[in-house]
This record gives sequence, C-alpha cells and structure tokens, in this order.
Amino acid sequence: MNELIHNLAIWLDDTEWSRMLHESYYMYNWVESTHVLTLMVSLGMLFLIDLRMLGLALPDVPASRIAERLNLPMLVGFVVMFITGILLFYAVPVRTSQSLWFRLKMVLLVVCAVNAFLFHKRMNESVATWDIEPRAPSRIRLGAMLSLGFWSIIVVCGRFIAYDWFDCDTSPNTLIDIVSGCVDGQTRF
Amino acid sequence: MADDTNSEDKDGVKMKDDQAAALVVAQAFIVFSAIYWFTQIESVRELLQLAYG
Amino acid sequence: MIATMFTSYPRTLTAVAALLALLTLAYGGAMDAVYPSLLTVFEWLETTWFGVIGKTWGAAFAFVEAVHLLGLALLGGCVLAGDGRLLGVVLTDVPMQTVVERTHRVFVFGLSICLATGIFMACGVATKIYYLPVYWFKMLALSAGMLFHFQVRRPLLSHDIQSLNPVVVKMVAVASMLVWFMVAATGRWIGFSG
Repeated sequence: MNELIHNLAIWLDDTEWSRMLHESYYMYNWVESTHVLTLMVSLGMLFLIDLRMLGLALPDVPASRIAERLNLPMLVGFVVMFITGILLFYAVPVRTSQSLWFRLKMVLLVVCAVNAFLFHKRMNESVATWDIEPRAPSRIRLGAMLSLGFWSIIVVCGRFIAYDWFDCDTSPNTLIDIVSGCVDGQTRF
Repeated sequence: MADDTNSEDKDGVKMKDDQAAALVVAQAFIVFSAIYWFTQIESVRELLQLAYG
Repeated sequence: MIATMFTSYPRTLTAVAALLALLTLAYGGAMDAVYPSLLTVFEWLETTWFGVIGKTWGAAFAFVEAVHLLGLALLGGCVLAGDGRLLGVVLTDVPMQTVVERTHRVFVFGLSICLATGIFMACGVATKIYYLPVYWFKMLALSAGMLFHFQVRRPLLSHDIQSLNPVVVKMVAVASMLVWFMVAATGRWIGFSG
C-alpha cells in the first residue's frame, strides 16, 4: 500500500504543473494563504454551530436555525479548503504523503465526516423538542465537543506538516517510520 | 417631560455622532483597502512580468 | 462653531484624529523616529520566558501557532456572521441586534486567544519580526481593527439598528470584513517573509 502511494506521489511529482506550483513563490504562497485564511469561513461557521449546541454562542437563537443558515457558508469554505488542500498536496506530493501529520490529518478528516453525519442525523431526529433551549441534549453536545476537539487537532496537524521533525530521512524511529509509510531510499521532496 | 425630551435629544445627537464617525472611518478603510490591494497586486504583476516577460 | 463641533461630534473628531495618526505612523515617517529605540525592547522580548520557550522548543511554538489559527477561525467566523447579517447575506431571519450582540462575545474570546498566542509567538521571533515591514503593517492594521470594532462599530450598533442609515451600516460591515482580512492576510505573510 505504501509502495503504491509512494509511486503515485512520484508520478505526481514528475508532472510539470506540480514542479511549477512548488517552485512558484507567489502561486504556492497564495494557495497556502487561501487554504489558511478560509479557516475563518469553514471552521468559523462550524465553531459557531458547535458553540451554539453547547450554549456558549447565540443561545437565544433556535439551534436549528443557526445550523441551517450557517451550513451553506461553512460548506463553501470547506470546498475552497479542499481544493486548495489538494493543490498543496499536488505541489509537494512525496514528502506530504509520507508525513505523519498529514496521515493523521486525513484519518481525522474521515472521523470528522462520520461525526458530522451522526450529529446531523441525531439533531434532525430530535431538534423539535429542544430547538429553543440554550443548550442541546447531552448526545448532541457530545457530538459538538468531539467536532471542536477533532477539528482543533486537525488544525494542529496541518500546521505541523510544515515541520520536519519526523520526516522519513531524519527520523530514526521505526514506529513513526511505519505510520508515516516511509519507503526505503526515499530522499526527494 | 422636559427631561425626557432632553434625553431623547441627547440620544439623537449621540447617534448622529456615532453614524458620522462610522461613515468617516468605514469610508477611509474601504478606500485604503482598495488602493492597498490594487498596489500590491500591481507590484506582483510587474515583478512577474519582469521575470517572465 | 468649532466648540459646537467638539461637543456634538466628539467621536467623529476623535476618529479623524486616530485615522490621521495611523496614516502618519504608517507613511508619514513618525515610525522612523521611534523605530531604532524599539530594538532594545524586541531584544528583551526574546530573553523573556515566552521568548526562551518559543526559541528553544520548536514544538511549543508550532502548537501555539495552531492555537493562533483556531482563535483566528473563531474571530473570523464572528466577523463574517455579524457583518454578513448586517449586509443581509446570512442569518437573515434572526434580528440584526441579536446576531451582532451575541457574536461580539465570541469575537472577544477569539481575539483574546489571538492576542495571547500572538504575544507568545512575537517573543519567540522578536528580533526577526522587528525588521519585517509586514509585521509592523499588521500591528497597525490590528490596532485599526480593534479601535474600529470597539470604538466605532460597537457604539454604532448599540443603537437600534433599524433606525440607522442602512448605507452606513452596510459600509461598516464591509469595512469591518476588510480590516480583519487585512490583519489575517498580513499576518500570514509574516510567515513567508524574512
């Protein structure tokens, strides 16, 4: 599996657009800045929804209204983050695919998607009974807390990708090498 | 009664002041942002043109 | 006439004076006068506990950077929700006053996170950022943003918003989004500079 990912990353890395994006100071930084600044749209809206469920933001506005009305700007933000995220991966595919933090981030993104699905399902099933309560029921609050926690870890992982503490060629630790999916002899970024 | 009218006048004057301050500062920020970002984009464009033609 | 202006429009006159002061600091050479003497302050910042931790423990610095981003997300979300409501783009079926008032509380929390983590980060790289024009520009934009939020936007929106001039309200919303975008964008560019 790691060999397959590595070969795919090598193939991407060999494409001209990947090299151009990686070497372009302005384009790469522009894409990266867009990825980071769009946090304000995607996570900004998500945090408001989660905090509303916990009773910490807009407690006197019906919970379903906050969740429904902020859903669209949040999704627009996530789409932009997804596109810019793919471009960032495309610019530096070999190193990123073997980054411990990137792998952890991808796993947590899946966990967040499952949590969001369950959160919406549970909310839609019961919202009529607690919509105007300042705090949502404990099950929904748990979902909101998990969402806040996981997304915070995702941001930390995203930030850590930039650091080379556990890069394949610098880390002698076998367990980290295994989790990072290091392939023997890999040296290029 | 006279006190009520007086306080309403004061509120009206304060609102006018707050609106005028908001108008001046908001206008300044919008104009400054437009000039700033235009200049930034233009300078990058010129730099890229110098580098790549 | 001038006396009447001072008594009737104190906030407007203060705002004009503050704008002129900010412009003088940014472009009028006022900064050049105080800039050299600030170097000792920035050198001292690196010797503080924050500075030592930030410089020697890279993981702590990176973690604080991430928390700074989380604070930014919260701050930005509140700005977008509040100003988006003033522009009639989001939460249109919730009263403006409610959205503005409630998002302000979360905004203050997000801003506090950004300021606390920002001070820590600045200590760790103090002698680097001292020489970066973009850092100083960000500080001016941040000062402008905070003054605008607490001294202009909030007093204005404490009145009944329906009775305010809608054009002024919309301009305030646009200006607010622009100034916080400026703060965030110049902040991000600090990382690419130096």
